[in-house]
Amino acid sequence: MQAKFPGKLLPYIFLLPTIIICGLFIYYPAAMTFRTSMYQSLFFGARQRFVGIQNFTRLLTSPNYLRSMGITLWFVFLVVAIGLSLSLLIAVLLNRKLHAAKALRVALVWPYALSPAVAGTIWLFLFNPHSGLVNYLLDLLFSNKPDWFSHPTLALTMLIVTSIWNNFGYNLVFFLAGLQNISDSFMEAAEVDGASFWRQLFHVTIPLLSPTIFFLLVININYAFFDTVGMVDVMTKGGPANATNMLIYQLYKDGFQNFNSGLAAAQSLILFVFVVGLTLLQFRTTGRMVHYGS
Amino acid sequence: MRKLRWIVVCTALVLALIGSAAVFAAPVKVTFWHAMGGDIGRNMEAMIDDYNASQSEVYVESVFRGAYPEVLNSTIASAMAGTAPTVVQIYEVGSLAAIDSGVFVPIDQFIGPDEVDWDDYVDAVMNYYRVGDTQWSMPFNSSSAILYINADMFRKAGLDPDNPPKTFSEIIEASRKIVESGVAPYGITWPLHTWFVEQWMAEQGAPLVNNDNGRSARPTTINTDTPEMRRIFEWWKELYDEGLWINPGVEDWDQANAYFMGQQVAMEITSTSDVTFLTNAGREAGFEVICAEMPVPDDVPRHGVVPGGASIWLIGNKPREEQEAAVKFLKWMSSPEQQVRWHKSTGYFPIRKSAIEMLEAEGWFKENPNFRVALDQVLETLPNVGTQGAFIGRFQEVRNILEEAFQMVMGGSTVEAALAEAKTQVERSFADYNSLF
Amino acid sequence: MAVDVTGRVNPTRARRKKALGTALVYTVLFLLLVIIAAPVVFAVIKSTQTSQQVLQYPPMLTFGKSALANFKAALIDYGLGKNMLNSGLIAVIGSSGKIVTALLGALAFVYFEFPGKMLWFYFVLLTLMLPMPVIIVPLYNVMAKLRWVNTYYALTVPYLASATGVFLFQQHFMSIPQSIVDAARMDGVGPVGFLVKILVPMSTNVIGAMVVIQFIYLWNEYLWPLIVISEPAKQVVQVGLKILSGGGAQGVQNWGVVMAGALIVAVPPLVILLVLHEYFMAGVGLSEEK
Repeated sequence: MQAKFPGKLLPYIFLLPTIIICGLFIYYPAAMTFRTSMYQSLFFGARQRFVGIQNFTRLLTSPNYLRSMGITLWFVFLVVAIGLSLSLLIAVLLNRKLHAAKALRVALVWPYALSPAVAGTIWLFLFNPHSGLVNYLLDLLFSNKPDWFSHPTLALTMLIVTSIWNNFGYNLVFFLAGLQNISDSFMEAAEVDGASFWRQLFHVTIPLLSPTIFFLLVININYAFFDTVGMVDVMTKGGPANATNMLIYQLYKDGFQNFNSGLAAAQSLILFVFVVGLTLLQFRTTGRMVHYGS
Repeated sequence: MRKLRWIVVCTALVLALIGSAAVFAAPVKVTFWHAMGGDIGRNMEAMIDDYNASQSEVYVESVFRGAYPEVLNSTIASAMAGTAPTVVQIYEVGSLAAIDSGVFVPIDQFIGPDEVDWDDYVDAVMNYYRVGDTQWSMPFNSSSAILYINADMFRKAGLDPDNPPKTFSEIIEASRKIVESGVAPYGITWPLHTWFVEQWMAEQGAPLVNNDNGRSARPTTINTDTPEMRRIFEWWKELYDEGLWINPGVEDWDQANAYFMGQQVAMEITSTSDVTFLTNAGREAGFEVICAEMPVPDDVPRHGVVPGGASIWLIGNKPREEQEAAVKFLKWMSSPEQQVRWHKSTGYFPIRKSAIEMLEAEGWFKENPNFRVALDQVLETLPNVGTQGAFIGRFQEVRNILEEAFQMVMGGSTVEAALAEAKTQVERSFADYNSLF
Repeated sequence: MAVDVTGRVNPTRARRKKALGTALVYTVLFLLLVIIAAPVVFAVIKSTQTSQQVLQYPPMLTFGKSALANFKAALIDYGLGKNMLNSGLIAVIGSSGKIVTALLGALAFVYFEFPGKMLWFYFVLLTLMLPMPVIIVPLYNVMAKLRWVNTYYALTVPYLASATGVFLFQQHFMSIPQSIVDAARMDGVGPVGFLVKILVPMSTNVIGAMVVIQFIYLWNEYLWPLIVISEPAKQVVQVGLKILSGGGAQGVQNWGVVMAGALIVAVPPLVILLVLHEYFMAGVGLSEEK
């Protein structure tokens, strides 16, 4: 408990900027999202008609929207699962006292500073079917130059690769730090027991690393869910044939290109459900896994 | 002492009068939002600078506001916030949204019966922009799609660039020759953009949507289940399946140009607004660019094209004085002299018959045959409901839906299935839109 | 003790294996650094080539001579330089404003008692559940009502409250020994003086981390500027890059210029990260290793 300053008004004055901004620019629009989602609207609400829950039934019965939801979840799952397991695996292989550790961290972590749009732009050219490096390598190895932009699976793969690259070093740095904090005696005990690499990984390392894993899980899910909108816009614009049309990109198109604010607000609320779900999961899982780990 | 005070007061009054007179004489400021970036944008800014220098009644401040769809969106949003400009360049397919938004006022309310000779405007343009009896906006930059040919590649492949492919099957044959002879990896490209589909519907005289192409009432369905539409998609699919057309990406004009300039293809279909750019760029890269009319389906008479491009709209909620000043500016922009200049610097075709006469008189088209093609294509256009062009409120959404449909075809779906799916989606979009009126 | 791959330990073999393992580790590490850097190195090379060289196949992997022309085109002809200034302004104002409001907020929560304190704490904390995309449509309407569409108010003011910031500073303040607070109060230091003279100097690590995280976050914002700023000359650098790479302006895709643009956009956040990386590492919980 910290000692307190006297004053009843003062704390409110200090909090005022935060409260006003949260209220006006977060809670008020959030409340308006509920209202807007009940309207069929045009031109940012210049014309509108109350339709009740029609926007929601429309979305949840639309094959396109459901497909978009499936693609988003699949994309998030793959980015997080591949990204995290790959970086964890490499972190375990690299786990030892390394020379120039600080410099090394910086050398690994920097792609985190590149925005998804910048990463997307660079990889857009790397994946260029004619002159890109990716197809050059594939041509050398397999004599094959796929057209990344015309095939649904390839386009999604492209986004997954770019996203994983964008976060890989960041994840790795956190895993390395987490591993360094695990007391060596655990590892030694496991080795003396003659546990195999995989056994050691799943029964000692991962449980002990669970706080780090959990932290990275939340960061990566958030990244894949929301931040990739710039990457999608730069690389595929949701195509081909909506194969990379993430939920948030569809929201942008409906709200700000098709003048359909009501439908976009309904999509916002559906995203909100995901965010709430994620937060709850965060609380529950953290509790359980950390307990298991300690 | 008293006298002195009077002198001071009188001097002040005189000064105030002179001051206010100066204010009255100051030009009326007109704000103009446009969508012309790059070289074309610089040409437009130069025209506006000249207009400002040429007279002292009106001062036009122009602002480049991004691509066409963004300009339309931000105008409607800014009108809601009360920060709209005076005049805005709106792309042709944004016309119905512009009317329905209630943000604009018809321009003919500010133009007396004999002030503008509307008969001097090219018929196809008037056919597009006149809505019933109302002239909503001032036509300015009009384009159509044409075929650009790399003549050197054509000759290498044993094709005759002076006898360019005219039909769908001739495009396929020419593309095959180009690829088989190894001159280029692909035959042809154009942006994966519904604009071209709209043009090919018009060439067949077929309306894109019902209710007279949306002209007699807001449309309720789209004609994707017609032989005309299937013909376009089947041909496009064939080109793609055989590896003759390369996909530059959805609405990606630059990448299509890049493939043509990079000699990955021997043909490109794109807007006439690139005539100047592509002809010069070809010369710099060491090959000759020849323009030809849009290819059309076999055995279908050529009906013509829908004029693309944009017109300039007047915001309703503005002081009358400002609106009148803006109309003066618009009349100047679409005057024959300025249309000649605009045409020469860009390739947009002149929208005034008198401008065409001026160009012919000076022999412009003889020296620059590439500039002739688009114009011929437009002048030969037969006026009918198909070539009039569609009026759709959420046009951009319809374009995206059809673009998705073709991407489904590339992914292996049949043309019928993709077009049927598109129809369902478009009908739903139309029903939503119409329910608000 | 080496953590080798098989996990079996035999004293004599272990030493040899350790040497081998070390070599292996550094090889893997080296390859990894190369793979991570390769895309950007490729971009750097391409940014120096002419529009024809860029499109050559097989790709030309040596430096060209058009670097100056490409970077100049991206910065001046495509207006990325202007966009950079805009983004820089927004990121600096936004991140410093955020730090100030968060410091004040944490000061109120930690060093004051007031009615409804928990309520207001949750009021701030629960904004974490309402990320921008969830409120984006009505937020745009709020901007329209305030006439803030297409202004920098829209790009800074809504960002000025930071639940993460309040939370980080609150945690940090709670770890400051109580004796320091008592000493300060005995010297008659008021809350503002306490914040400026004692808390801020003791929070440089957290502030440094906030600077890095918030600067990168604001510099990299994409969706909101795309929506709320409609004039290319006022646009931020991320959307400027999209305009540069994806058309809008007429022309031909010059990948050399696009790569130059992408690199230019990447430089400021990279510099911030490199200069302040120690704060960043400490701030995100990566303390000095033992």
